[in-house]
Amino acid sequence: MTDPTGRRIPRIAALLPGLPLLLQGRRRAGLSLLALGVLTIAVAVTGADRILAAFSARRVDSWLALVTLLACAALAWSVGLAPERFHRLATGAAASHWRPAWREFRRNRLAILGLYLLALICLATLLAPFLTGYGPGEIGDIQATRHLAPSLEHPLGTDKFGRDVLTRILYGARVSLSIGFVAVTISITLGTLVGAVAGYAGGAVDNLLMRFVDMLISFPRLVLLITVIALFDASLILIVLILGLTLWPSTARIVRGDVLSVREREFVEAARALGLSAPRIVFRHIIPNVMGPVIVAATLGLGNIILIEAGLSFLGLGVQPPTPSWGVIIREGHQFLTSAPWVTTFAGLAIVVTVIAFNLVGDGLRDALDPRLNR
Amino acid sequence: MTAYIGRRLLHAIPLTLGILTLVFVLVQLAPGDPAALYIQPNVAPEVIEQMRENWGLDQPIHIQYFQWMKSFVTGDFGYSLAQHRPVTAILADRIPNTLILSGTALLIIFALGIALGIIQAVRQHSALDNVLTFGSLFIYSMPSFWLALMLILIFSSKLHTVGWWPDWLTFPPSGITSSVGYESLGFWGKLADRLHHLVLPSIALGVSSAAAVARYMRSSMLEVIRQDYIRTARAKGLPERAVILKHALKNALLPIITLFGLYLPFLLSGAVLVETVFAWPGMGKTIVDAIYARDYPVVMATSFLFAVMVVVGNLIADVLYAVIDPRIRYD
Repeated sequence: MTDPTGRRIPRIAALLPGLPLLLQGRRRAGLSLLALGVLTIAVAVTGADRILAAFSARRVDSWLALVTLLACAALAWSVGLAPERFHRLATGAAASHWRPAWREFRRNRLAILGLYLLALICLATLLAPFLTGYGPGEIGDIQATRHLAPSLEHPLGTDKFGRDVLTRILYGARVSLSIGFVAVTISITLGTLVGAVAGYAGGAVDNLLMRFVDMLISFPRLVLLITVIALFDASLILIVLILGLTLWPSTARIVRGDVLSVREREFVEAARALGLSAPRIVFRHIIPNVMGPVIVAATLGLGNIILIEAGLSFLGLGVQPPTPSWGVIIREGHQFLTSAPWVTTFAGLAIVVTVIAFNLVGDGLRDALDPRLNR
Repeated sequence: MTAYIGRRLLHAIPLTLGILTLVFVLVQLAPGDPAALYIQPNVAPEVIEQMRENWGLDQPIHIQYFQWMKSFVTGDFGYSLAQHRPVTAILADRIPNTLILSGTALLIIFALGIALGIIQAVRQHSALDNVLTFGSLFIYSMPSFWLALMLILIFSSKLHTVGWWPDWLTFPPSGITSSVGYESLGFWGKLADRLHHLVLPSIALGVSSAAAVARYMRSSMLEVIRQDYIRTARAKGLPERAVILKHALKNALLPIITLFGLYLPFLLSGAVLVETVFAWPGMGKTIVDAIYARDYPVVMATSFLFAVMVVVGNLIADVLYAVIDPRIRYD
């Protein structure tokens, strides 16, 4: 390990994560690791008693938080000891055709900002039990702790039951984000399949599938969702399923459009000349070549689904209290909008920041992956 | 072009029928039937059976389907279970309110979006451009109902406690008219009162899409400005104002028209939430109230009409595009 002038960097520098990278002159990578290290230490120190409690609590989320914390520490210090490993990670040791896209993405400052925001949100969510001293449903003394304004003890105040708003928002992130991830996985998978089949098969199949897509797209999303949820008296699992099953048509449209052009390329013709079966061509040759737009749609879709879930829960048709999701917190807070505005305000800000992060990353991915924009 | 418009119209009809079929299938798939709602210990099973018969629920499914299609196509949406009057009568009251709200929101979306987009394109990479780009990203990422709540918090409950804040800038948090004293106002007074109530909901509904439109407008304008005919216009000495607003704007607006059809579903989804927050008696509030009351005929009819509004909106966008852009061939 040497710095830019060729001097050796002493191994002891690795005790502080990121320091060797900083000495090597790689500011962004070094500072990120440093931040990660400092964050890990800070959480470990301030939450020491909670971490100890986690060992005896035997709850899944405490264990998850513990594993996350250990993983953070491992990442920060192992990379600090061997920066080349980080270098390989950062320049894309993945499949070679993703490398130009990653290079493009890394140049986009806003996209990187979005990525950092996302990382921070995910960490905060996973580490929630160590970050706050309250439980998500822990009701304080109704008389004494109801609607307390933000203070040192309750950084974002308390709600109508005297519950800590910060805690509710952190735990609410788990609910909102998991719903988003599962629903997007369903809708993207389905949308890609339908789009690829329609685009590749063409003719009557294409016509039929796309008319169905037209029909579904004609419903304002929220209207379709609340209608279905009301008719089926949906439980949370069903709601996630319905979210996924109603949001795929736009992906299908995008994928179909791209498949139509990929289908005409020479390598597909070659595959056909080799006598490969249609499913094999679709899955092995066509779908991998339309993954770019699909990834973009998934990222932007995540932001969108978080907004939709919040809307549903706000109407009282999504996640049901006392489970905290961001929409539920806003719904509960909005009755006391004037007397305790912090509940609604901060839960909404959590949504805004998360959606901004997904949108920034999504836009960055689009710029990096869209061949039409390549200059 | 007439043939093209005719074809779009013909395309919209099977689409509408398809939407109707989809709603029917949803109702059929749902557990229980409308009569099941009335099953109670003190209602005799015979009465329930009679209801099934009256509503045609004992008929085979294809007969029910055709009955359903026939009644919807002829504008008979059934009878509200909660309000005890025809669904058509309820919706006739509510649709104008939704149209007023979404119309105003559309005006904000396109006026604000286009204006901001032009400013950003003309001053590309300036500090103003960057601020506006980030600002629109922020607003675009906001849930509309949260923005609505924040607007209420700021403009109807907090600011008027500030002594010098003018009264006319304090907006009412709910309803379409003042509940007290509205009837005693003159024509202009009534109009002013209605507009006053319209301000916050239409802003809450409009600005996030306006931010999106601004983004598209900016890139569309930038693309047009690079073209040769703009250089020609500048070279012959036209003032910059005329180059941008007369020559470039027309072509830059073309792709924006397609956004109208694209953003209509978003706008109407937003309307459901914003109407609920502001207690605005439109279709969105109707469907939400109907769901709380398990008033399925109203839910079905309203969601169908929402979809029809989107179909009609798309039709308008297509026709507008065909009328405005003569370069496109339709065959």
